[in-house]
Parts: sequence; C-alpha cells; structure tokens
Amino acid sequence: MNKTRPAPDLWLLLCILGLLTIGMIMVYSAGSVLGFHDYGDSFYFVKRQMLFAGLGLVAMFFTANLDYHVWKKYAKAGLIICFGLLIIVLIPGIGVVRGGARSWLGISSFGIQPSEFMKLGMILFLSKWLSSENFNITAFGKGLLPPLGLIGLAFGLIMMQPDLGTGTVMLGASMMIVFTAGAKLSHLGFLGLGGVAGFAGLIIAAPYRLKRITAFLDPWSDPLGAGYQIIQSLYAIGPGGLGGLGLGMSRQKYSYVPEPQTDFIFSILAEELGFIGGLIVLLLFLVLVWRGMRVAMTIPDRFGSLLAVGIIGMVAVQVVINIGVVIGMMPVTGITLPLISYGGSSLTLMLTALGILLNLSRYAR
Amino acid sequence: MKHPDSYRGKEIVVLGLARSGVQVAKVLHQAGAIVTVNDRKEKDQCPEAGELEPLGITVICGGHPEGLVHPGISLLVKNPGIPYTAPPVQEALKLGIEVVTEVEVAYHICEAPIIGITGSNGKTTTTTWVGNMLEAAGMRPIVAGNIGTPLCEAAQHADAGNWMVTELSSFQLKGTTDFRPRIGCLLNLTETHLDYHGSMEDYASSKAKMFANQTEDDTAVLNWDDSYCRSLVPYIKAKLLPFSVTEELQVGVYVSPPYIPDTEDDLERSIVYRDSDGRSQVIIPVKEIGIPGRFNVANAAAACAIAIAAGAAPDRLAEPLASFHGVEHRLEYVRDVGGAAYYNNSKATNAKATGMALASFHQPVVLIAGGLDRGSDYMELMPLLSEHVKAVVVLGETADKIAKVAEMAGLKHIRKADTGEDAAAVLRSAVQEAAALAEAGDVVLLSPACASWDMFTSYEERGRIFKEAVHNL
Repeated sequence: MNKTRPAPDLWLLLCILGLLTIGMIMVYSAGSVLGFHDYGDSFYFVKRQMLFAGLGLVAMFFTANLDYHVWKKYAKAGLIICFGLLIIVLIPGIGVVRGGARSWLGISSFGIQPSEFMKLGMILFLSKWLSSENFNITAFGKGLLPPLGLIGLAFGLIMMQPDLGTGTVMLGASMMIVFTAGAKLSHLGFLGLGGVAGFAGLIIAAPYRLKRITAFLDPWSDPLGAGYQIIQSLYAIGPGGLGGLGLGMSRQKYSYVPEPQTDFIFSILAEELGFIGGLIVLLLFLVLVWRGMRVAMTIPDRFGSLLAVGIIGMVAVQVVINIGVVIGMMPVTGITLPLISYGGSSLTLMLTALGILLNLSRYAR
Repeated sequence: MKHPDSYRGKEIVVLGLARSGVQVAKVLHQAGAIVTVNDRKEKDQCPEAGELEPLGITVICGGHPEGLVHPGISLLVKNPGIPYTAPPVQEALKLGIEVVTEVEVAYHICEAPIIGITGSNGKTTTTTWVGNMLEAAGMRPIVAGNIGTPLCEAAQHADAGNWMVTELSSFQLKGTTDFRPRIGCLLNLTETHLDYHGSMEDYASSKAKMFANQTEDDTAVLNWDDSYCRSLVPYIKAKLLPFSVTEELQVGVYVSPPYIPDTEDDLERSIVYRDSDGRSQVIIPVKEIGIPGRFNVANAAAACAIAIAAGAAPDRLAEPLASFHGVEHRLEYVRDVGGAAYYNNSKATNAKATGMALASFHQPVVLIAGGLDRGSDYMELMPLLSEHVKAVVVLGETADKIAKVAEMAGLKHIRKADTGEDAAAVLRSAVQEAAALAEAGDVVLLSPACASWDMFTSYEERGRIFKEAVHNL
C-alpha cells in the first residue's frame, strides 16, 4: 500500500488556489488607487490580503488534514461561542460600527466579524444535528421547526447589526442543509412564502433597502444616490468588452466604483480582463461547486454529506449574490466574492471551510 | 485448483510444520516446486513428517540448519506464528527472498473469489455469520482459515462457483504480497499483539494489506465508527461499503436510529441497508439478533455488508443473524444459576474485548478476570467497571493489576481467587466466589482481558473449565 498520504481532490485544490491568485492580482490592481489615496500605499490592500491569505492557507492546510469527524465533537461548543460573539458585538462600545453596521469586534484596523464565524458554526452544527441523532426532519413541528428556529435566531441577531448580506448567505447555506437532510418540499414551500413576506418586511423596514430595490429596478431614477453603485459598476463592465482594457487599466477604480477591492471587485475584473476574464472566474467557481457536490453525493456518511453541502452552499450563494449585484441583476447587498474580494476574517474563514471540504474529498470517490 | 506456473521448478522453504505447513507444502509440491520443510521441533515430535516424505518433500527437523536459506531459494513460506526475528526469516530477508504466509499461496491457487475478514475483535463471529448468510443464499461458501480447515487445503478444492470465506489475522496478512480478496473487511483496530508486531504502525499496516491490491472490481467493507478504518479510505481503490452503528450512512449498512456513543437507552433499533440509489431497507430489528451486545450489532452490520457485496439479497439475511447464538468462548451463554446468568467470554484476551463484553450487558455484572501479563494497561476498563460491574474476582498474573483498577473504579467487592498450582482449581474457586457475590438478575461473566498461557494451554481450555465449574454449581 502506498505510504504517502494521497492528495485530496486536485480539482478542488486547483480551483481554490487559482481563484486566490486571481483575487490577489485583482486586489492589488483594484485596490491600488484607494490604498494610495487613503493610506499612502498602493500595496496597502494586497499586503494585508497576502497576510490573511497566508493565515487562511495555514488554517486550510490544518483542516484539510484533520479527520472531519472531530467537528462533530466541537460543533455544539462552537455554535454557542458564535452566538455569544453575535450578542457581544451588538453591545455599543464593544462592537465597532463600520459601513453603517455594528458587525466588528476588535481594535483599530484588525478585527473579526462574528457573523462570518456564525456561517461556519451553523453549518457544522446543523450537519451534526440533522445527521447523527434520531432526527425526523419530515415531521413539521418536532422535526423541521427546531432547526429553523435556530437558524432564524442566528439570522435575527445578524440582522440586528444589520448585515443582510452575511445573514442571507448563512440562511442560504443552512437551508440547503435542511433541504438535503430531507425536509418535505411542501413544508419548505409553505415556509418559503413566509420567508418572502419576511424579507419584504425587512426591506420595507429599512428605508435604504427599499431605495436599493427601486434603484435596482431602475438605477437611472436616482443616478447620484441609490442607483450610483450599480451604474458605476455597469460603466466598468461595459467598456471591458470581450478582452478587457488590460490588467491595471481600469478607469472606474479611480473612486467611481465604490469598494472596488471588495464587494465590487468583479466589475473591475470585468473591466480589466473583459468577458473572458469574468468567464474564467465563473468557470472556476462552477468547477469548485461541481467537485464539492460530487463530494456530498459520494461520501459515505450523512454528516460528511451535509457538511459538504453546507460549505459548497455557502460559496455558491455568495458567488451568485455578489455577481448578481455587480451586474445589476440583484439589489445591492454587501457581500464579498469568495477568495477574490479583499477581506480579512472572511477570507481566512472561507479557506478554513474549504480546508474541511478538502478533507471530506479524501473520503469521497 | 489453479496451477500457477510461477511455482514450477522453484526451490521453496516452508517454515513451521503444523497443519497449515503440511498443507502448503503439499500444494506447492503439486504445483511443481522443490519443497523443503523445516521445523525447530525434533522429528519424533513431528508426526506430519511421515506424511510428507513419501511424496518426495524434504523434511528437516530439530532446528534450523546452516545453509537452509540460500540464494537459490525463491520463496519462504512461514507459519504466521513464527516472528520475523527468527534467524531463517532474517536470513531470507537479508538475501532479498520473498517471505509469505500460507494465505499468499492459497490466494494463488484458489479459483473461488475470496472474502477476507480481519480486525482486532469479532472476526470469528462475523466470519461465521457471513458463512451462514451465503449458505442461506445458496452461494456455496467455504469457511476456512483460523476456523475450519487450513486455507490452502480448502483453496485446493474450491471452484469458481464457491466463495472462500476466511478470517485473517494480522500475522497472516503481514506475509502477503499479491493477495487480493474480492471482498476485504476490516472490523476494528485496537492495540493488541504488540508483543509480536512491536509497534501499532506495523500492526495497522499489516491489517491494511487487506486492501493493498484491491481494484475497482473489488469491495472494501470498513467500520465507519473506527477512526483508523476511516483513515484508510483515501488509500483504497476498491468500491466502499461501510458499516456503522453510530451514524446514518448514505451508502452502506447502519443502525437506525444510530447508537449515541457511551450512552445507553431503550430505543428500538434496526439494521438498515441503503444502496447507492438511496433506497433503504430494514434487514433485521436489533433485538432479534442471536448474540447480545452492541459490538455484535456492529459485527452483524459488517456481515450484512459483506454478504450484500457478494450478491446476497438483503431481505434474506435476517434468519442467519437470528439463528446463530454465538461461537464457543465468545460471550457464550452457559446457564442460569439462582437467577443469575453465566456467560463464558474466555476469548477476551485484551482489555478492549472485555470492555466490549461489559458494555453489552444492562444487568449488574460479576466479573472474573485476569491472566497472562503482557504489559498491557487496564486503565481503559475503569469507566466500564464502575458503570457495569458490581464485583470482581481476579486471578492469574495480572490479578493485582486488575484489582487496583477495580479499586480506582470504586468497586466495593474485589476478591482474589485462591492461588495454587492447579489452574482448574483456581478457576473453580473463582466461579464459587463469583456465585456467592451474584444475586438474581445479575450476570456472571468470565472475560479475562488477558491471554491464558500463564495457567492454561489455551483460552478454549480456560473456557471449558469455566463452563464445567458453572454446571457443577
């Protein structure tokens, strides 16, 4: 028998590293202007991105080599800690407000977002809960409602910051686990209607969200206000054409597109690398999701399967929403593009989660 | 029998007579090899020699002569009990001569597909179940190896329509090169036999040899609850059919609802098979299985997975599981005396096996334990002792060691059996001591956690004396 430890799924690993590399280049390019303007260093963002990617890769290497069954042991404690952090961050004076939301814990420029941790914490706990115990999810009151209550509680806490983007990703990944665990379609459909109503309520409750909705339907109704972000994003994507303006040649990154290195990085990427560049990124994500689904479908145990679905769901929801926003097909929601966007704890956490997926892939065939 | 030309004209040394040595020598001779058999014992203690010499096989007894292993030898077949440190084996390894056990030869001559079952505990029970299941399915199994006839002998007579079902020890597996079972099963892995293998790594890699040559056409049946078994998955090329008693599986045989590790409850459970299309079906309710104990549920699940991989219909497996009431000395029910049930588990020669036996009883247990000191640590028994055991009677070399662990577990009744030269008398006194401590509703269990060789010739002898003593109560 071969003594050397076999590699995990190579496709997965290559997609992760490929996207991370593209991200690094684009964070440098898209963030150079803002970095120079705000911090006097055009390498400011890419340096920090390298630091967090390095941390993330170490974490990924660790989780990829850790038998995923240990997560079962720590899932409950992890979830409790995540809830604790989510509550602490809401306390004024402890939680730091950035971009209109009280979602950060930490000092000066380094900080963590508890809501990011909750995404993974919830995925781990739901996978364990819905797989290992005598759990009949086809029942409504005793089966489906308790996990939904838990997900709802976490979502509610995240919405108090408020952070609709992260909340939606957490909700989306969790619902994919619930669906895969075998919840009845009729139950989910019924609850889905309720969910749509709830979302509508949330949007109406916060005036800026309603503005974003109307801006999304017709950005040019308020070109300097709510429609600004989408219009500037589209002004970046359009000129990119088939082949792009060339790396580093974006015009929109000069303070036109907001957050060019994070939430709107894809528009700068499309401007500089064109339709082909954008397509390559999307294809890499597609392969990532495909290989992840393959893991979920062929791993022998339910816990592993649900865990793979949760992690891949988290990636997929985030990609769909981010790119949907950037190309004007969805209302603006603050959400990063996994592995590409600049982002500290979210990048490290994403790589940690993908490390778990890599470990799972060793057991799939 | 297949006649592999690979043995024709080759000079082969068979080390160790005994039944399997004789058989392998005959088989190799028939395949055209020039065979020399060697045993340390004197010739007058080797009646088998007379059987081989007329065939033209050289038999050398009374030690390992100089020059027995020389560069002209192309294969050394050793008895699994002979350690790799033995001089002729060392010599062969130095000369780069392949060293194998009978299993390797059996594989080369066997026309029937082979089912190999290994693990630290539960091999014999599982092997017996698989044999019964395939029998019930009309698949003409031959159960051979550690139980029944030597593997080589059975392999000679098997044809392509048979299934060769065999229990394999780590010692046997270590001496294989090409061996490739159609279905390989690893039940579990615990620290045992370290005196032979030297290290856990060596022991584990011997067990892993079960899967080394398997391809996509073969099946690997693995215990999904055992982290060591799971860690092998990335190395295995065969199709996987795992089993579990603590997790629901997407594909495989599992217990529904799953057991929660280290806790007990009264839920009604079943063994369930789920195929690769996601269809699941109940094989048998757990309470109908013929042998008690959670670890036997795991063995039953393993047997089901193996039988299904071999092509048996899942709905036909319940009867063999229900009708088999255990192998002698393996949690074998003896009889009730004064309302207490007596069980013989003399086969439990390590702490893990005794722990598994204890965990399988809900009733308070009066435990009889102790035996040969192999340097093991019995601390792992402590929680089980405090949870399941009301009294302990210790005997043998490890008596004080086990008594100490029982004391730490907070047991009030710790008795030492009479000591003396007469092993049978010692065990009888232990049984009487235990009977005095037992009340109606209790279980009296002989589960020594140690090998028997300090007092008895084998665990079988120890078990039989125990049963006799119980019948004489």
